[in-house]
Amino acid sequence: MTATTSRRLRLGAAVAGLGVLAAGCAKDAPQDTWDPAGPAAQQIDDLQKPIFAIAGVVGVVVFTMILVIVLKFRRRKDGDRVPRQIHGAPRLEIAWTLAPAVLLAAIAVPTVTTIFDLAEKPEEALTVNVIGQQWWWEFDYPSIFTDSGRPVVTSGEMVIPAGQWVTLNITSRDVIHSFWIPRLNGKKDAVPGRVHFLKLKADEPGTYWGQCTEFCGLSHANMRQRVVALSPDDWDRWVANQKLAANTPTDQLALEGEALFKGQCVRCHQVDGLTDDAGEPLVSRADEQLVSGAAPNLTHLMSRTTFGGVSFDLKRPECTNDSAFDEQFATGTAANCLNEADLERWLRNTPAMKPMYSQPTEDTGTLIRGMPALGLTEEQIDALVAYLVTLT
Amino acid sequence: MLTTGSKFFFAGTVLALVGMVVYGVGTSWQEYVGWVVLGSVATISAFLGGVTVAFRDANIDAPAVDAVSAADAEGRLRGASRGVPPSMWPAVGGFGLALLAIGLVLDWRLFLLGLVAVAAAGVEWVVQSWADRASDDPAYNERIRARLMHPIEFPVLAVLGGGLVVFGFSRVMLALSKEGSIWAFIGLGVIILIAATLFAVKPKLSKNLASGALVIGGVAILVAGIIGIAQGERSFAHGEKEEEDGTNQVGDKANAAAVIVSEGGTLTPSTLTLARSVVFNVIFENANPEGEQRLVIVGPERTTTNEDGAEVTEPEIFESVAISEGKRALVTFEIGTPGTYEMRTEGEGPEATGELIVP
Repeated sequence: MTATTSRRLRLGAAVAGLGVLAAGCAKDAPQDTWDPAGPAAQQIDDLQKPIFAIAGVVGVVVFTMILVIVLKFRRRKDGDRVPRQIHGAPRLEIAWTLAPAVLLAAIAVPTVTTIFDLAEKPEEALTVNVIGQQWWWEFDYPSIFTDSGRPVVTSGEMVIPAGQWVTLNITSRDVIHSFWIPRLNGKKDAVPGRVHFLKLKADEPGTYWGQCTEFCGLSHANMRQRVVALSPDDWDRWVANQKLAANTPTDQLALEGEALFKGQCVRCHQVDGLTDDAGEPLVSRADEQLVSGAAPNLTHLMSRTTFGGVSFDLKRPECTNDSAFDEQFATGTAANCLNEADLERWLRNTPAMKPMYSQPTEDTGTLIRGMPALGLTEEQIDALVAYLVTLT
Repeated sequence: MLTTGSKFFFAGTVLALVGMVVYGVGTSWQEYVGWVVLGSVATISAFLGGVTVAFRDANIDAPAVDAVSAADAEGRLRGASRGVPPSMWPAVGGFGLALLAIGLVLDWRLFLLGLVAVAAAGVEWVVQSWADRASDDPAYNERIRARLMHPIEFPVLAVLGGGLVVFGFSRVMLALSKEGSIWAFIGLGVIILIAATLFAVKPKLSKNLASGALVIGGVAILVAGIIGIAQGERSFAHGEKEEEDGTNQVGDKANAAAVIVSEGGTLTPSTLTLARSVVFNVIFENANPEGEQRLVIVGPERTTTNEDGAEVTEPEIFESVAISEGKRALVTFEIGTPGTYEMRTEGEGPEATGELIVP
């Protein structure tokens, strides 16, 4: 190896190392597990920081010793000299056996305590059923009922009251997913046929980001979720709004969109309050269309800030700043806040925006995974958007 | 004179005959298939044994010792004068054949065991025969046999031995009470720890002592396991009884979405909210002393085609098995259509109803 090549290699390694270090300096890191925002995450943080420090010290000591030994006892030019031969060093052997054992035992005590604490169910808590499917999350509130007696259902963004414990019953409709909001608690797998418990509490109102952390197929990377914690007043307003049935549009274009929705979209998407020509409630039959058997409930679509598994903004940035934040969730967005461009693109060709198996495959029969391209005309898309905007 | 090969078949004949008699007497000679098969095996085995004797194990050298070279003849005669070391494999093979026949009639596991025994005996016997003729030196012969077979024998024996010990210990744990099994486990752990420490501290302890301790320990566990099997499993505590109903898997029970108790005409909880298109397991507990009850969930209406080809629309029913007081059973269901569905109990005692809400 020439001196130039060697210099370049060292320079490359240094730049790569700096790059890795710099990656840890991101200011806007909404999924930062080192920045807890609730008691459960705080408890994990209180445990992981000292353990990380201990592990760091152990790592430094071990690597330093290896380095010293490698350098000190490397083969010299007069390499024929045989080093002193040693057989057994009881004190040293006992020391390096006992030290890790004692260290691990010391770490085990707070670790086990934390695990048990986190598994303890809070006495008073809001319950939310969390269901994962390819590739979005559904949240239903079994203790909050709409005016028509149905539980409140939302998707993508789980709205909770700040400062209150929330217990989650997590499961899945198709494959294994994993629910994780790093700033509020650890991960919990969503496994079909099983119901797993997790508790969350956000100290302050705000939005807490997360994403599926168990590889679950084609659009796993696009399966995100958020927890939106509202102040008590805003929480009450959100609940009051969610209890209402969907608005009935008055605008002509929106009425055309509603008719289109009843004809096509309602096969998978539920909108509470929609009725057929005979006045009977329209009930989605997503289980006849989709592998997962469910599509997002759109009754109050506009009370969310994202769509498509939290992959796309439903609102324009100026409508989701701090001052407008609560209003978006409490009452839904106004038409002038809508990110029309992305919503229209979504309706035009969904699989082009988010990879999905939108055609049946050999193993799924007639069922599909995700939303297909519906072949809508531009007029139909305009009408649908006009209708969706009314779903506040 | 019985040749080496014929012993295998004659042993099979004897064991098949014994098996036939035992089976025949045990079934009052009414199960014809069983004893006829065993008798046939004995006959065929005897015939093959006779053929093997007649042809002197198909060994062309055997009757013509004088014709071979002087050195070979001398060697063989020396070998013959010492005699071929006795082999247990014909007996094992015969035992395996008998097991095969008995298993064919009684139980596929016995058949499998017989198959394994016959295969093992076949391989071992072939290798031993080959090794016995390798030279005049029995020690050398044994060494080459060991070199070939020990890499196979030792792992198999270790797995079998370890498996038997584990199986024996598991029987002990099942026979003991819940608390007793905890203490037994702790006790065994302490004994292993002390013994291991002792051997680690005193590495010069006799190998025989170590081997003896291991053998005694292993045999003790096996004997305890046999006693455990004789005692039978303990009656399991509340919560483990579902297995008796034959409907529940441990994994399902461990993670049920809810426990619904029926008592005095009331379901608790009376309302459940469970998501659509998700497979849920719900545990039903009957707390009524009047008799057996089952939980029935009346799902959404489904249109199906009956045997006559006509379309029939009726609600999908999910139900548990009927269970008596204090018992629990599982209902597994998946409802894809949002709606409110009836839950009710059926059977003896007061009927209770509730609602299942699917958002």
